[in-house]
Amino acid sequence: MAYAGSFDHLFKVLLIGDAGVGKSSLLLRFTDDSFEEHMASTIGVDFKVKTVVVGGKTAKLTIWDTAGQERFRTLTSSYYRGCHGIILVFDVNERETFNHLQQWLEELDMYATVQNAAKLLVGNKIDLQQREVTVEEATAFARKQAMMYVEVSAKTRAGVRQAFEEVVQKILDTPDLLAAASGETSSGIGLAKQEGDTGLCSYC
Amino acid sequence: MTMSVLQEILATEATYVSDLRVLCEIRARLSAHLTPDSITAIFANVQTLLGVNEELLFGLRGKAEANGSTITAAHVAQAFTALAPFLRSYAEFCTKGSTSQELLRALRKMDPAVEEAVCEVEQTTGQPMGSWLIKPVQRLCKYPLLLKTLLQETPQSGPDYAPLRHAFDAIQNAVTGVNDRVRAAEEREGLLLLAEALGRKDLMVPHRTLLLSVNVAKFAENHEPSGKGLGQEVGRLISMSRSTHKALLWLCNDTLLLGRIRGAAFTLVEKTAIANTSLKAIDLSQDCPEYLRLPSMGEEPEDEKEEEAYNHSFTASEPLFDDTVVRLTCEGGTHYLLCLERNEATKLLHAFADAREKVTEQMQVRAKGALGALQELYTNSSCTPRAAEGGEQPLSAARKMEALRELKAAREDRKGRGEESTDQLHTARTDCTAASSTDVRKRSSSFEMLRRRLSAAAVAAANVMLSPRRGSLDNGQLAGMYDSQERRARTPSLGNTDISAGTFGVRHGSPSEHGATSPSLETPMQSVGQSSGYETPTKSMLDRLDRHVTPPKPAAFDLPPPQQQGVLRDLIQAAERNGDFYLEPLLAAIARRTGVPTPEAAGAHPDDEQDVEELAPSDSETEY
Repeated sequence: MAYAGSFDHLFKVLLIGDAGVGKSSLLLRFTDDSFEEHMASTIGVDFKVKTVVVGGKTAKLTIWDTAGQERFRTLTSSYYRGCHGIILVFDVNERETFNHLQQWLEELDMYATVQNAAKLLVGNKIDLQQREVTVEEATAFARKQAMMYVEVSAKTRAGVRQAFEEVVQKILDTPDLLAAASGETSSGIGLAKQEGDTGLCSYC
Repeated sequence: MTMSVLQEILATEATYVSDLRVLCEIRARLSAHLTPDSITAIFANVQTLLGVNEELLFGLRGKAEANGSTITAAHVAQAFTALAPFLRSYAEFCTKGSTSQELLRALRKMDPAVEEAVCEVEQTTGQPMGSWLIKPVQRLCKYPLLLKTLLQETPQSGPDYAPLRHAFDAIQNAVTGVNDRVRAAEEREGLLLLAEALGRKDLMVPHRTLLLSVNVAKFAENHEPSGKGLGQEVGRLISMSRSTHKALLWLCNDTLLLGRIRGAAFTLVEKTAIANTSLKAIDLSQDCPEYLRLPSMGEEPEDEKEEEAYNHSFTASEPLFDDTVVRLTCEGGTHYLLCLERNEATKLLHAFADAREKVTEQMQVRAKGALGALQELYTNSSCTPRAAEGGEQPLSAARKMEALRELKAAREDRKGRGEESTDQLHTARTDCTAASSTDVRKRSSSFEMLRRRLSAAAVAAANVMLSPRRGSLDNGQLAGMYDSQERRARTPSLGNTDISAGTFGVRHGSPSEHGATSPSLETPMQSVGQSSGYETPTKSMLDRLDRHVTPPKPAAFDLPPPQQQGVLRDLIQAAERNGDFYLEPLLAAIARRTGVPTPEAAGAHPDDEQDVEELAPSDSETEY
């Protein structure tokens, strides 16, 4: 229950994107290194915590998943509050999910309270080989929106870790975001320092 | 697998209820440091939620224990069906949720004691306050998912499926309802803030919500919207200073507001109803002056020929700036040019198109309802023999549909609308003259036809009057139509104001006209109508029909049922909104008879009985 391990930053990262693009799989692959072929919509998982070390800094990530709740837009918009990083996921084999990215970005604009939250575009399911969206296209879109683009497969594990580290790096590179993070979680950091000696590490 | 979902529902509910208890404890602990108002603003009705979910958990667990500690799908269905109506209480919590975290953050900064208390809470609970406060929102969104998964794993032929399906639908609806209510609350909140910032409390009207606010980099009035000077005006706009011509555009569900920003204050520049407003992006590749264009060739021209080509490419190239210029045409006829950031412009244009579509839809529904009411008035009043008479049946539903179809056809031909209604009125009038020469009861087919035409004429006329986008042409046609009627009705005065007064002509008429003898043509029917309470259409009725679309005979007019009153109220509102003077007398008459108050009617004519008397078909009007 208590804060485990010591960390330099506590970041809130949100996974968004159309239903079925593999947000939950991505999350589970990253946090638990597991993959379920036939996953139902996420049930029971509110968020997962994972500590990563990027550039010598330890960042504790709370990663939030909104899978299956897309229908209740107004309610899920409260997830955006205080978000430092946004991972925007689409399925490279389904053009529709790529076409909806603009809407997701608008939503983000409207609801995110932390200005300039670090954004990362992730094309998932590259293992399926039924591509409808090319790398070039996705890269161009990402560049236009000042985002990085990464291709991953939650199934084969390809690129997953890199994707999350990319987000952390981007947050670390943005002074405003760091300020927001420390401002919000000062107590957490204080606590971490106090309990740091317990030697528990949540990074697994 | 189903078992695991059932277990998950139970286990996660238990966790959630204990989380809610923690949240209530946190609330109690912090209440020592915060004002009761702040506590309510942050924690909303979390105690109510605890009560609701304890009940659910008890339902699930109690059933499980009674069942030898296995929980079944049937129990889940039962518990959730019972829960559904209570989920409404989540709306309050979720609405507060949008501001609670910001408020808490501000309070922590302001008061070290609060900061200390919150830190302590976060340390003991191991989670930041934000996570605690969002738990109810998350849990609420999970219920439909949990039930859906359970439903998918339940055989459709089994006994559990139907109740589970019912529970799922109920929960899904409840959560959607909460979602909608929270959105509505947010939109209202936005409008309230806006009205306060503008110092215009009158902007707050029920049903109006703020949909979107958009930054306008610069704006200027567009003096020659159609002329050749557009390019120059665009150029002037682009070269304006951003600091002095900044504005905000607020899109409400019925209105568009343009406000100028001066320092930290806003002033309302324009307020225009969406139905009568247009918003169009200007094609800058056409209308952008040359000096604002980006040269597309990098190299300087070397000889004349190249220079020509260079100049050509110069004019055809892209504009130098990335913004979008939008023309706003307000209902008052004022045009503005707005310079918007491209994404903002796209957002605005989409949202505006949606809002406008909705407004038009609502108008149509409203007009249809109002027309339906008018028709009903006809059916219930003069044109229908009283059922007690054992004569003809009231206008059947099929006939009403037919009349509505006629109305639709009339509506489709928007251009010729005014003429058409005049035409229909004329036909109806001719029919009536023919019909009234004999006892219409003996000519039922003619009667039916006449009645239909009457209805159609009424709705067509009302359609003209109610149309939200009625142009001046229609107005003119209508005025012309009334003019001719007025002349025949011996009202000497012409013109709009007089027409309005003329509609009250019956009332203003001298008392002696009232008791005047009916022309012989009318007498048989009139006497039948008076003696039996059933009235056939008469010329006098038609006269008033095409002048005011007034329900002809009060004696035969039954007070409408409540829903009909509602429609009438719509009619009245529509007329008020359009400032429709043609409708005024009609509305006043309806209001007096139905008890639906209108501002004009309330107190304006205290002598109801007399009014009704005067509005009764007076024989004096029958001369034609």
